[in-house]
Order: sequence, then structure tokens, then C-alpha cells
Amino acid sequence: MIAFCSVLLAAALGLQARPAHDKDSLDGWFEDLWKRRDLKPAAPCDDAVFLRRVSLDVTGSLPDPEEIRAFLKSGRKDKRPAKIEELIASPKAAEYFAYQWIQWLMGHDIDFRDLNRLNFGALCDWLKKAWSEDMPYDDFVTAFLSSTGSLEDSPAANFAAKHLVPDEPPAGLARAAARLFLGSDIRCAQCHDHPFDATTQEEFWSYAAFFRPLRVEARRLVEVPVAKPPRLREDLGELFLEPRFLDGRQAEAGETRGAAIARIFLSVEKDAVGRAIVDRYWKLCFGRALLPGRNTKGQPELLDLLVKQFRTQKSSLRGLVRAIASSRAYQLSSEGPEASREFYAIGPLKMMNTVQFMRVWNHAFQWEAYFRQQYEKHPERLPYMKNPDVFWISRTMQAKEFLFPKGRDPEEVLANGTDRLAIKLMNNRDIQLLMVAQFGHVQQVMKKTADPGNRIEELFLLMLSRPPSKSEKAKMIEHARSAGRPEHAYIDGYADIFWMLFNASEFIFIG
Amino acid sequence: MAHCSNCSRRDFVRLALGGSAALGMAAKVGVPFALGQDKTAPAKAKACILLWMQGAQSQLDTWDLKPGTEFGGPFKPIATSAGGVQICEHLPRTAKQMDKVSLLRTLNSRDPNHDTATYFLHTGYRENPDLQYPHVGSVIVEELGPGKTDLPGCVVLGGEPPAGAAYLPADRGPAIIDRLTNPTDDLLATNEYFAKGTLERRWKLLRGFEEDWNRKHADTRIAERERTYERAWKILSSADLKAFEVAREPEAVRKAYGETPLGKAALLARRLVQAGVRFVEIQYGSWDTHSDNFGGHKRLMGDIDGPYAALLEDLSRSGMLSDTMVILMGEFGRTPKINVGQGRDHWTKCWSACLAGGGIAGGRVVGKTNENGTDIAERPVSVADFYATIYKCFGVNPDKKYMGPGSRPTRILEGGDVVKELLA
Repeated sequence: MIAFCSVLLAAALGLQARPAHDKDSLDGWFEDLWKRRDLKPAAPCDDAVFLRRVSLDVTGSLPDPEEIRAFLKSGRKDKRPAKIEELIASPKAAEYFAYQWIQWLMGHDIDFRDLNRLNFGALCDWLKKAWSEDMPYDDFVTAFLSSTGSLEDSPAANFAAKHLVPDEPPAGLARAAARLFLGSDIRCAQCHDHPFDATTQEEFWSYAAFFRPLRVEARRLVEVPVAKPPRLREDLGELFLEPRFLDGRQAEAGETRGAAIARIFLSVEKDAVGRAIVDRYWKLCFGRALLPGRNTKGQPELLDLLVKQFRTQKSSLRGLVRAIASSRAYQLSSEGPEASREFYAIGPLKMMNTVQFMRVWNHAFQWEAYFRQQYEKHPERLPYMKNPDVFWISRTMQAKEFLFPKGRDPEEVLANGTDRLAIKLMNNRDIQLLMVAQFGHVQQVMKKTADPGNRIEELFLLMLSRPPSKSEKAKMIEHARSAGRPEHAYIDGYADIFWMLFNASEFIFIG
Repeated sequence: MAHCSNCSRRDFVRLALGGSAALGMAAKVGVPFALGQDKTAPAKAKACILLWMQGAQSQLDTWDLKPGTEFGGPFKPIATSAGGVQICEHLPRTAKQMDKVSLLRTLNSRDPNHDTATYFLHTGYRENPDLQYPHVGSVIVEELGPGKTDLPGCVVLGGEPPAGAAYLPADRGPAIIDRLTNPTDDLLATNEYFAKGTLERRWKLLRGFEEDWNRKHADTRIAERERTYERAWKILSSADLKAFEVAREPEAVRKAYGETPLGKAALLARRLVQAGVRFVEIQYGSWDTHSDNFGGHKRLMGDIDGPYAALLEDLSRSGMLSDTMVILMGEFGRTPKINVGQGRDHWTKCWSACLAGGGIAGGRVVGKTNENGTDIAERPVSVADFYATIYKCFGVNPDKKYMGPGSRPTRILEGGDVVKELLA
């Protein structure tokens, strides 16, 4: 039956149908792994869980109640693959792709200076287009490594512009490019030959020399002739050397700087660029890496398989997301013992990433509606609202300040949680007041229906993307009645329930 | 003591590293706990209040006046309770407390940028794009342990600190209370805006609701999150939260501190330390007077004089000053040269900081600037020296290494010599 379904699924996706136990297919690979490890995979997750998981992973947003109801009701056999296609093609997916890549490209320390200095609006549009048009990943990488010119007309140049510091050697850009596109962390080598890493300080600065001609002048990324600086920055470990990649390769005769570094990146041994991007998206969807880490073995064979598929599918990021979301491992129930997660015998469970969290957060408290209203009244007070993308990026920055402590990568903070974040979520004044604001979900749901059961169902769908169980519903109805006061139309009780929903693990985790 | 008289220091270190039994023995025989501590008196400081003068004070108009010289400015010096030490006429109440304070006049750095210098002066480290260093308060909480309270060990009032817990455990990071005027937005909000008991009712509802889902999705990350929420709830339901209710103080005390945002914050800082909080930072400014330096400084000195003096007097009277260090400082100083807008700009060659309590001597001046205040004449003190001195008072071993991200061992402090003249 399962084999039949996966054939159906593959057919629905327009992929070449393969025998179910073909080890070259993702599902076949997992079946083989489970057999070898004598593991019984979990049951498929239910439709509501699937819809929440795939919506967050593809669009960074929660499905709305009507969409959930329709999906649960639908009897179509191919409703999951059809939903994956629908989500991939949606404007929300392009938006999530753009916002997520801005985080990756710019790092987690974007501030207002960057907002004024760089052109986030143009970059955002360019990224959305890259998703919508399914730009091959090699072209995408090449754009970031070789674009020069106006930050508006050549949006990919914003990446280099962000990481260059005036009057400093381009170490930050060199590190960011290697980390982002090659998946390799060479930061220690900037100042010393690292005891565990293969890269030496000399290799680091030879590689960084590729970026030396770049300058930001009058909102343009330009290339200028390189001269040895009068004083080297000893505090940064600076060495002045000829451009030469970590593996010793140099630009070829007649090749421009940008073309050379892009060519070299894309032809690093064992397809480092392909491995890094596949690993990045796998981690985004499964919450665990395929590349081996210092303390983890990873799944290098699976990575090889996925990279091979990625390359045969014209290096399509949409194809990669589709392949992951369509896999049987992705669609398993995430309930079960933690140990089973290592071999993917239960479905993915991870904390929302920052972009997902901020989008869901905006949705939960209707920030967007609130600010749009404010902007219409006083456009001069919210200048960034002119471009909603830029406004959203600025909001994320502000909210990060507000929600996440300084000096820690928000991804890491979300993964561990902090007391400060918990205190804010539980008790912050603004959140308390917004929760019961006129435009907020609680008041809106109360206006929409007078029936306590329907109100509770609606709140559950809004926040957890599933209806409450029978016993949950009964308990919540009782709570709304006993905690609320009739003179306040029982709003206190519903506010409690809403509070409970956004503070629950089930909300912040993607199960 | 007899047990240990034959042990070399290395033996002791080996014993101590051997495990808690050895540590227990060491404690019994009276060996200082912190490794690498020398033979001088044991550490005195147990808590710290940092008054952060955001934007940078002009040393020449506050703590190191040069009247009648080229760059002296209009303010006059006045005598203080510390013998021959003089400070600005606009700090009259502080002048009466200077017998408790050591005035350091020769701090210096090479960083004239607010953001990076603020970071430097809060961590002892220059900013490093690849490695975040912890806030000094987080280091002190980590090394001394949280105090006997459910409240966070490190609290910052009135602004965003430049650094957090970095590679230390998350709960060592500063609890940030953004607004001086309403410091309880996060901590008392539900009780303030909703009926009493609301938060507790919600907490019980949440715990009952999520039990099932959390159990089915057994995972260390979920367990960790549950612990974080438990800690947050412990803070929010703590009886120690009443430390935030400054209005409980007698009227005379409130009046002494002043019913101003800074006066209330200083009194709150004292109440928090009393409750067991290790480190409280109050941010106040902005002293960044690129224009109208003298108007701005006169006004701001008026703001800080009462609260600072009241804090020193109060702590001294109650005996808390012996183990509570009070530091008043900013990220750098201001230029001797007065610009066309009657302002002073950023100056890193020499500036002043005030330290008191927790093992710091009172009534001293350390370091001397030249005649017109343009440079150091005697005894320069680097930021690392400054931090070596603070850590010394807290019994924190600066050579101890924490494991940073990427298994990178990082010392609590890099370099720096203790400024012995500052110690009591």
C-alpha cells in the first residue's frame, strides 16, 4: 500500500516513477536505513499536522482557519502533493524565501544604519523573483559573488556591501561568503593557524584578497585598483597577499575577479556549494544537519543522494523543497521517542526559526493590520511602511531587540529559549494589552460567533492549526465560563485561552 | 590549615580540579576557593551597582576640573569630604560622600565610537565580529553564583546593554527593564492591568493543557523550554518581586533619593541588591554634548547628584557598602577643546570613573592628568587594568577560560594588572 502510494505520489509530482525500494530514491533510501537499523517508522502524521508543518516550512506562515477546514474535509487522494505545489507557487512562499535569505545573507545583526545604507527593497524583490522564476542555484550564487554596480539596479551587490567595512580589509565578506555558500567556517584562520581546521592564516588572507578591490561608494558597489595599505591591521590578523583560493586556484588569464571567484566556488571539490545548500534546506525542514558536525555524525550518504538529485533537477531550490516535503520521512508523525529522530523514523520536530516566528507573531497579534492603519493616518511617522517588505525587515530588527538578548544568535536563543523571552511572552505589558485590542483575534473571534465551542475551535485553528479535541474543548468552555465575567462578555476567559495557546510548546515548535 | 601547609599551589589546584570532595576539603581548611587567587585578603565584593553615564561625561566638567586653563570651562571646583580632592560645584551632595569613593582619573582607550566603546567598557573586550563576550554582570553572576533570590542575577534598568550572556548560560544574561519610569512592564504587568490572580490562573491552564503534547513529543528541547518557563514563572511569582515596589520605602528615604526617574531607579537598585541580585546596571544620559556642553552637563549633574549621593550614603549607613561595589562611568571622556557650538567631542586619551565599596578604598585619587587636561601625566589605567581590579574585588579569576562557540577557549579577561592603589 505504501509502495503504491509513493508511486502515485511520484506520478503526481511529474517525477519519473521508480520502484519503491530503489535506494536512489529518497523514500527507498530511508526504507533501507530503517530495515538495516531494525526500526519501525512512525505512522504518517495527520492532515492538520501536515498542513501546519508544510505551510510553515514552505511559506513561513500558518494556514488560516478556512484553509485548514477545507483541507481536512477534502477527500482528494493527492491533496498533500497538490497542497505542496499550491504553497510553492504562492506569493507567500516567495516572500518567505526572500525574508529567510535576507537573514542568511545579512546575518542577524541588521540595524537601522544598514536599512538606510543598503537597498533592502530591491534585494527583497530580486529574491522573490529568484524564487518565482526558479533561478538555478548556481546563477543565484554567482550573482552574490560577482555583482557590482548600483545597490538598486544590481540588488545582489547588497550582500557584499553589507559585509564590507570602510577602511578595513574584507575579512568579514570573505568569512560570510565561505560560511554561506561553502558551508565552511574559516573564521579562526583569520588570526591564527587553527589547531583543528585545515585552513591557515595565509590561506585565509589569500582567499580574502579576491574581495580587496570592492568598495561601497555613493550606494554603488565598485571595483577599484588594489594597492598595499600603508599599515596592515595587525589586530585583525591582516596579511597582504595575491588572490588565491583556499585550494590554491587563481583567476585564469582574462577572467574578471567576479567571474573567477564564482567559478572557483562552484567547482570546489565534492561540490561544496551543492552540499551546503542541500544541508541548509534539510536543516530548515528537519531541524538537523546532514553534514557531519563536531559532535554529530550527520548523514553524508543521504546528503550525496540529495545533492545528486538536486543537480539533475537543474539546481532548483523549489525542486529541493518539493523533494523534501514530499518525502515519506518528512510526512511521518513526530510523536515518539527522541532517539528515533536520529534515523528519521519519526517526523521532524523543531523550534520555529526567527523568520517563521516573526511572521506568526505578526499574525497572532495582527501587527500588520495595526501598522497599516497607523500608516494610512500618519504616513510620515512610519516611513519604512512605504515598502511593506522593508517595513517588515525593520520590524523584525526591532522585535529582535525586544525579544532576543544581545550577543546571541536569535536562532540559538529560540532553540534554547531564554528567561527573558519567556517573561516577555508571559507578561509583557504591550502583549497583554494587544491581546484584547479591538483588532486582535480574541475580540474578532468573539464578534464572529457567540457559541463558546465555535469560539474555542476558531482560536485553536488560528494558533495551533488544528481543532481542539473533545476533552480540550470541554475544558476550555468550562474555563471561559468560570474565568470570564459576564459584565466583560467573558473576554477574560478567552484571553486566558489565547495566552495559553501562544505560550504552549505546541505553538512555538513545529511538530 | 595544618593539612595544607605542606601543599604547593599546584597540589591545591590538582586537588580542587579532582572534584567536589577536594573542594569541600579546601573550603574546610580555609583555602580561597577561586583558583589562581594570590595570598592577599579574600574578595569583598558580592554585588555591584553600575551607574552607566551613557554618551560619555566630560571629565573636565565633572571629576577632573582644570579651572583657569585654556580648556577649563566655566565650572568651579569645590572641596569634598575626601581631604584635598575637588570635584565640580554642580555635584554638591556627591562632594560630601567622596570619602567613600576612589576617583580614577586616567582611564584611557583608543576607541572613540559610542557603540564599540560601550561594548568594550561593559565586557573588557574589544568587539569581535565572530565572538560575543559576556556582560561583566553575567560573568560575576556565573562566577559567584546567583544570589539568594528567585530574581535574575543581573538586571539592567533604563536601556539595552551592549552585551548579553554570550557563551555563558542564558539565565546569566541581563534581565532588561527598558524604561526607568515604569520599570515593571514585564514583571508586574498582568497584575497591574488585569485582576489579581490572572497570571496564576493562566499558568495553571497552560501547564494542564500542554502536558499531553509535550509528553508525546518527548524531546530535550521541549524539556529545556519547560525548564525555562518554570524559571520565568518562579521570577514572576516570586515574593522578591516586591523589591520592585519602590513605593514601599519610607517617605524620607524616597525623598533622599529623589522622586525622579533616576532617583527611583537608584533606590530600586539598592532594593534589588538587598533582595539578592548580584549586578544592577542603571543607564542614564545622554551625556553626548557635542553642542551646549555646559548647559547639558549642568542639567545632568543636577539629575545624578542627589541619587548618587543618596545611594552611597544609604549603602554606607546600612553597612551594605562593604560588599556592594558602586561604579559610575561612561564609555570615554570628552575633548578638552571646546568646539564652535560650545560642545565637547569624543576623547579617549584620559577620562574619569568613580568606584566605591566592595573592597575599593575611599577618598583616594588614582592617576593624574596634565596641567590642561589633554593627556595623562601619571599612572595610566587601561580598560583591562580597570577590569582586573574589579574582578579582583569579586574574587573572580581573570585567567579562567570559558569554552566559547566552536570549542574556542576564552579567558574571562585578556591582560590587565590590578590597580592596587584602588584597593582598601
